[in-house]
Amino acid sequence: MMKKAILLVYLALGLYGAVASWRIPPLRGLRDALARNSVIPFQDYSCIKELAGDKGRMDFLGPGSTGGAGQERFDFVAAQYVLAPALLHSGYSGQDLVVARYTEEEELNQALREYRLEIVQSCGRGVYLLREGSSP
Amino acid sequence: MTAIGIALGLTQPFILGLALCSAAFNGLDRRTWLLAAALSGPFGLALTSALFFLYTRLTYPGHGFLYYAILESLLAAGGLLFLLRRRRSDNSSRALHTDRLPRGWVAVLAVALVAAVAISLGRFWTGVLANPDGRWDAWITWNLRARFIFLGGERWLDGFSRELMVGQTDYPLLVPISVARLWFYAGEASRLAPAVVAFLFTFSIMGAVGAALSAMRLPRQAVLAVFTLASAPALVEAGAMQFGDVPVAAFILGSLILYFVHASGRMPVQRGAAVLLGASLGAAAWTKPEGLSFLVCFLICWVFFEGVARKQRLDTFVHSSLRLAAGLLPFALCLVVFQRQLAGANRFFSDRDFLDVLGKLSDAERYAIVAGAFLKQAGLLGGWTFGAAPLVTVGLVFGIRRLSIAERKTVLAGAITLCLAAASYFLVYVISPGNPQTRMSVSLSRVVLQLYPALVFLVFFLQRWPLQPSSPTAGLPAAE
Repeated sequence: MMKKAILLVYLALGLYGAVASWRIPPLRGLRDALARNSVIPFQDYSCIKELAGDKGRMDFLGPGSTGGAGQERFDFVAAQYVLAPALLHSGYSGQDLVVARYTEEEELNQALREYRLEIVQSCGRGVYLLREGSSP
Repeated sequence: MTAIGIALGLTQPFILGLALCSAAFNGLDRRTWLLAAALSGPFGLALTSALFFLYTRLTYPGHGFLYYAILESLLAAGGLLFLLRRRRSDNSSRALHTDRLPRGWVAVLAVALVAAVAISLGRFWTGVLANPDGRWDAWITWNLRARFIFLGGERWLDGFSRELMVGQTDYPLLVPISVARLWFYAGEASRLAPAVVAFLFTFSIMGAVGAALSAMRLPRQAVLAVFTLASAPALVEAGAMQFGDVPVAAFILGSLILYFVHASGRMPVQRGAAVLLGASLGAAAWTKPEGLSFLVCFLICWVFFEGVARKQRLDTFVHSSLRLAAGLLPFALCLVVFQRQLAGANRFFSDRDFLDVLGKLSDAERYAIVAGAFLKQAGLLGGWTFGAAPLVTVGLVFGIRRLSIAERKTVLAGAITLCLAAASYFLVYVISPGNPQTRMSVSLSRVVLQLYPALVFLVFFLQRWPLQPSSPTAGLPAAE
């Protein structure tokens, strides 16, 4: 009788525990993280450093950069996840690429002119894949 | 179209997995059918991932996915034909019909099981909706590599470049290839595919535990074990986050179950089980480095228990070892090719100074830190609100049933293998670079989860059923 009661308690506790521990976590989609971010470089290249220093609009999230922890690292990974294979498919190795977000077209054009960058691919929602250009 | 493509991509592994089980079990009867069905998904994905990998390495960079799909379809058609032609007469109905419970208890167990499984399905579904790309490890390792395989074309090997800087480039490819295969069939990198792969591994664990226990013990014990796995959140949540630890857990569990089938004498398919056992061990190693570590631990126990303790004839031991090696071979081949041609350095063992490792091994404080974390994690096993307390309490109250000599040795071998695997994880944390606490805070719960389903299987295999009418062996399927 005692064992039967314990078995019933076990089943009841199991079901209670299952329901009580069921938490619905907040949305953590990678693309949402990417959209929140401003700029994410693949490598810490000098021209990008200069751009960040001047404008203060770029976050450096790769190794040797000012970022690298918490949310920033999360976004860096997000960018790699979403974009890296697509870039490689386009024929770029990734080492001279920058992922940037410009909400205004004028800002984008200014950055392209000033820092000799060119667009490799537009990824939507103001996110662009850029690389060092050959002409000013 | 995406869903149809994914369904098509899943059908072939299921057929191949089922055909493999049928071949190994010399046909499928009532006792082996459920087990084969539960194992066919993981086995099928393991087989197709190995096949895809070897095909790609042999033909790289010339041929596209179409030729592979044709090859796989031909194999699946052959597997289907094999399944249809090979049916074994059912000689086990007696064993499955001896489990008689009072109707009231049948209703209680059925309601509890259905409710727990429904909750686990709901938990998985909401977990996937909230984390459509999975979580950290899924992005930086598994799905990132899958995206390179699918999108990278001839440059997919760039996915192992150090330029990516994150993720584990030395992790094998069972999960990434399984996801990428479905994307190829679907024609796009849909978020559905990795979620479906995670679902399959997560719920095949429950299916395998249930099928194995109902074949080797009693259906009522199978129900209680599945209830335990389904009601605890840890397994299902890790599955929904698309962590690679769940597939490893599935293959570790599969290995233990197949070893029990092979060695306990409770099922008449020992020979074929050894081949499947080798395949399961190989698939674990082809999934994650912890799987490779489990393989080594298992082989140590295999040599001792099968070669020495069981006092078998030498030729019997050699034959069963050869069968095990035959199942292991395709995955060992994949691992060797992967390690030699693609894999990056292992973060724990590469570029390590021997004296540094020795220093960490002789640091008592590190042992204390790691042991404390392991003990804490053991108390939280399964992630229940009440931790592992209910499972332990029930285990203690209900007691252990009487075992045959063969079963005792089998259970001991299984338990020691799991302990050796846990000890190997322990040592890796002790020698890991930096503070082990930091590393354990992000990975220990997942690493322990790899052994959790196998532990649940072992506990319920051993446990005496609380409502046993007369003798401890009453109602058990007959040993053959």
